[in-house]
Amino acid sequence: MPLLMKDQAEHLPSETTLEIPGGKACAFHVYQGQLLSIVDPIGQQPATLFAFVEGNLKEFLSPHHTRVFSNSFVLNLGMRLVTNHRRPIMVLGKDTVGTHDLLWPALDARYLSSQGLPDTNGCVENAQNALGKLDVSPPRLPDPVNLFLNVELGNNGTLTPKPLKSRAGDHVLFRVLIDCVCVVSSAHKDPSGWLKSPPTAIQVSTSNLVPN
Amino acid sequence: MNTPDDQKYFVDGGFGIGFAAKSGQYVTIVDLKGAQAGDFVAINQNNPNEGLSAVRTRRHLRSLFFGIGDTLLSNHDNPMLKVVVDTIGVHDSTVPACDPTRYSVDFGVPGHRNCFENLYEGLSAYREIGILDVPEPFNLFQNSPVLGDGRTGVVNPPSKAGDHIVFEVLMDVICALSPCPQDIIPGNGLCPTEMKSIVSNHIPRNE
Repeated sequence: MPLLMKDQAEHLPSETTLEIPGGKACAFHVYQGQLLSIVDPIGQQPATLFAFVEGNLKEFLSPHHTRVFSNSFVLNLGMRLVTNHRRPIMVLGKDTVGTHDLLWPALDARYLSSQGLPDTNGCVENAQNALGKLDVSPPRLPDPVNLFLNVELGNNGTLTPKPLKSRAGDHVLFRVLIDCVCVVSSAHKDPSGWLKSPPTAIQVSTSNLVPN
Repeated sequence: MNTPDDQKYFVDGGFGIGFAAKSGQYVTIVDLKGAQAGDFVAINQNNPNEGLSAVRTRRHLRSLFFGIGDTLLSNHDNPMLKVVVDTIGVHDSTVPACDPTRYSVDFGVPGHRNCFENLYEGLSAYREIGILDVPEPFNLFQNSPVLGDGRTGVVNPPSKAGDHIVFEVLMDVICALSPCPQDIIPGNGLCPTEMKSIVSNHIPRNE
């Protein structure tokens, strides 16, 4: 059921179900009150998340503001993910993994090439292409929220990419608070970081009811 | 020993300034009174879409923190600046610049001076840029340790008057510096103070 508002909307927003192939990205609309489910059906597959406020592409999900908003370098259950204008855009409501990243950049073709993977689109290019298919052209692609990615943070500030902890069927579920355009990308392996090849599919759904 | 061609820029606490530097020069940032965080950004003079990137630098260094000998990268993974002198060793690159919403949303104080607009205005003095061309800042002298359980903290900087950091410039850049106007929570001793930047052809001495 949607949010328990005093005045209930007559019509529920449309729902979406997507299977994003390994190494690809999809963009989709999700609406206030909906649930955004992101599933790693195979395991150990990072999912890169971007979100833009519908109608104002200069406001977007910001991992940097999210960290400061909750005084946390890591994404924890119940935390509000906020925009660069410090408005909560979604809340992490369920999480079967507990390990995600708010500090690492998205992969792009230039970096992948420098790491020995030439002619390979990264999440940056894939996200831009996916947004283009919806005729959405943000002025700048922000830094991502890296779901399932495991970059260990030492107390002295060291960052060490580690094997991902997600297993087949692991998932996160967000309650969405602002209508937005989201992109989810199945990230390529990063030869300098986690080792996983080839990338595998990610399942995404937006729904008005809590999914099973 | 400073040479006559050094360009010196003083900026009051809570305000911002922009300046240009060429590849091969040095940029020095001095905390004149101590315990003052200075938000610092740089963009490519020839391409405002390329700017200093905290996340790319973090991946390159495998660390939240940086020090002498470390190279700071752009969002295109190109070397922009190299740390050659650092008298304090405590800096941050994880906290976004304070902006109008930091004060209006988090503290209920609209209209407060803020680093984001200071940095935008500083860069804009040299060339037209979009508001989103302002990179995530490197917060010099800001003290943001990693606390237990992955929690963040911002406490007052340990820097003393005269502490400074010197960057070797590896790309023609426009820089901006904003001695942070945060006077509500710990971070600048509740009293923003002035800073100085120097653009020079040699590493300055006795700063």
